[in-house]
Amino acid sequence: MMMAFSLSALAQEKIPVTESDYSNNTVEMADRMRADGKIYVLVGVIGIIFVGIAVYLVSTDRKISKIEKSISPNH
Amino acid sequence: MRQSWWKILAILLLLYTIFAGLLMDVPRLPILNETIRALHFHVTMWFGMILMLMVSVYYSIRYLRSNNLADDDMAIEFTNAAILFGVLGIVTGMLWAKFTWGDYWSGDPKQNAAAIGILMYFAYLILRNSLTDLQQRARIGAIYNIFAFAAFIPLIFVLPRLTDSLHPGNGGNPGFNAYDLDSKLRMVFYPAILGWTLFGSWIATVRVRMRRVERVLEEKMINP
Repeated sequence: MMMAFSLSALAQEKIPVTESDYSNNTVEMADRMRADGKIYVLVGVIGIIFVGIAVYLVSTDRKISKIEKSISPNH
Repeated sequence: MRQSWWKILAILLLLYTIFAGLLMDVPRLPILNETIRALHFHVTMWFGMILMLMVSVYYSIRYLRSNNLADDDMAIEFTNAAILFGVLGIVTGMLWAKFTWGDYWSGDPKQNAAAIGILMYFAYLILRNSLTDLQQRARIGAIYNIFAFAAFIPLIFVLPRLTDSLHPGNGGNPGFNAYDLDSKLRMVFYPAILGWTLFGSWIATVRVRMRRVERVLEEKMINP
């Protein structure tokens, strides 16, 4: 009983993230990188890689659809 | 492309994850700094893995009831995609840990348990490949898969919580979930889970269809 109580107390000991955490300038973040560090270029690069992988998967999907049709026309 | 709406959804959700996940405002927290964004990429790998393993177990049970190899195809390929996510989860976790916990591998209970879990699934693949009879392979594989899942869940969700762990929310360690998962992070995190899971499922279903085509071709070669 005691243990169950202390466990539930433990679960409530979460630190809430507040609005002040978003403006806490004592914590280092990539602020300058965002301003002049070309972060958008990086986001673009990752975006392009993902699109490339997705396009490749789409084309594989299409290919297998074609093969499915060729082996059983009523598929 | 068959039934493509959910595949388009997967791509859109992941594009949103990449753009919003990398650019949106995040809480400025010590030690984590910008790496908090790994939430949308590392943590979602595990959620995707578990969801796909659930699908796999569902098809393993279905196989045991139906003895239909088509069900076994789904079970093995969803496990394959889940293992891919699991390996990516471990590797990304190691990189993240290096810069927040100080070491690639600190013997953290959850790290160790995840590694054991992955090894269990490697054993599943080896076990399957050691059996040549298709029905026997599918049957033993299905049973192993169900037990592996039943062991995997306590390994990564229960045991690390019983001891001290660096992982958030485990053993009272103020890692990350000690912070309330913030509503702004959730706006990317939940779509990211869905997006990655759908993407993994897509890979799995493409490979299932490959298996089925292969089977039809084999049968045609045996009985032309």
